[in-house]
Amino acid sequence: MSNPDENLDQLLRASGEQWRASEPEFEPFSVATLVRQRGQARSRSFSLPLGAAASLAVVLFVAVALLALYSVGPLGSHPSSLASSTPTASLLAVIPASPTPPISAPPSPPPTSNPGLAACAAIIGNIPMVKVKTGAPTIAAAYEVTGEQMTRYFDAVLNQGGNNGADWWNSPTKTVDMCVFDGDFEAETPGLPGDDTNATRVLVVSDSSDTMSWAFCFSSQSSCEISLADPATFGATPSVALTFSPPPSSSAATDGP
Amino acid sequence: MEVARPRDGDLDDADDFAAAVEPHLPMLARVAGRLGPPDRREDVLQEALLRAWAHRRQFDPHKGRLLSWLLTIVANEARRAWGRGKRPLPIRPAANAGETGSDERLDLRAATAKLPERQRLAVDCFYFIGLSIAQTAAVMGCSEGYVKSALSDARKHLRLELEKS
Repeated sequence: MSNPDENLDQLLRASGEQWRASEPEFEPFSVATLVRQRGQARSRSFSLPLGAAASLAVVLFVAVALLALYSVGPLGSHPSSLASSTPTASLLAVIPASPTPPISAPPSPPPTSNPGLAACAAIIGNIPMVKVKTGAPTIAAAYEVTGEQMTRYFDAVLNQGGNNGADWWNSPTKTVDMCVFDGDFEAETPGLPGDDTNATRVLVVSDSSDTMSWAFCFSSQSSCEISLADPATFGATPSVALTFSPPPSSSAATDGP
Repeated sequence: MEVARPRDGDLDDADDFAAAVEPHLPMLARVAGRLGPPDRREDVLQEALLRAWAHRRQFDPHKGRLLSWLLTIVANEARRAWGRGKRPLPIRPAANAGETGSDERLDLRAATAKLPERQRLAVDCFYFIGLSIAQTAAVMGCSEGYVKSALSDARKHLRLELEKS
């Protein structure tokens, strides 16, 4: 009698061979030419003499210090532009354990009836594809949205068109939970030696069949592209809904959950 | 007369770098094709090679083989290519394009799409790209034991899924 594991192994190997045979033939190119033409230009654009780098660091430090000095008062007495543009009551922040809560978190306590929050709270101890390095992750945003709204968020915010195989991507009415976690993470993804895998924010989308991390913000990035905005606020035309401001038209507001 | 070939560690010069890398191009292209977005295999590969060139001094031949280092970079670049580099892992239906044939294989494709991410990556690397266990471990940034375990778990999952169908 045949071993089912061996049969499956053979089936997988045969499928692999078939896939490899179906791949377009690879046309070799000159690596030396590639690195001479594009690699040298790239190296030049990023290289900085040590003295210049030190000067730049001093200038940046002074600029940041001055900015901090002059912005403490106004921030304390006026709502920030980010906070004022945060569009919906379903944006939630639940972060008691964090020593440094994200500045974008709204001050009001979250409503307890939000199903997105419950779903995100359920996975906070087991966020896919990350290791928690220090502290406790916090929920920076939690929404229950439709597949259509989620895909619009990806198009508008992360500029990601195309499917990663998730069921909800092509299911406009399917309900999913969007969770944004802040914390001190290590992304468990293939990494370039020397590259940053230290993540500060991770976007997780969860539905009944799958929970998956879709995007990371790394600590070396100058800005984080994962917006805390409600996906329902992005308009129905992804190509024009590229800002974090309130919905561009009244039709977008009617798309909300 | 025997032509002197650069050793893995001699990457400083563009010609030496090219001589060391070019024998691996077909395998690297396969990784880019399987793990990257459809129709972007060459882009992913070239970007990865430029990154490897920029970071060539980080390669330490005492710590591992050049191919393993390159595989890691290409896999990472493939991930970056899915939406400015932040999509964590590859790709279910598109990566399986080209697999046609019996109902059994179509069922297998559907079942593979349901695997957890790490198991699917292991299956992609080992069975589809044709990497060894050690090379798969390099791509996944884990031990060979973990890869074997992931493959075993994946087969278990697949068998259950196929039995359902």
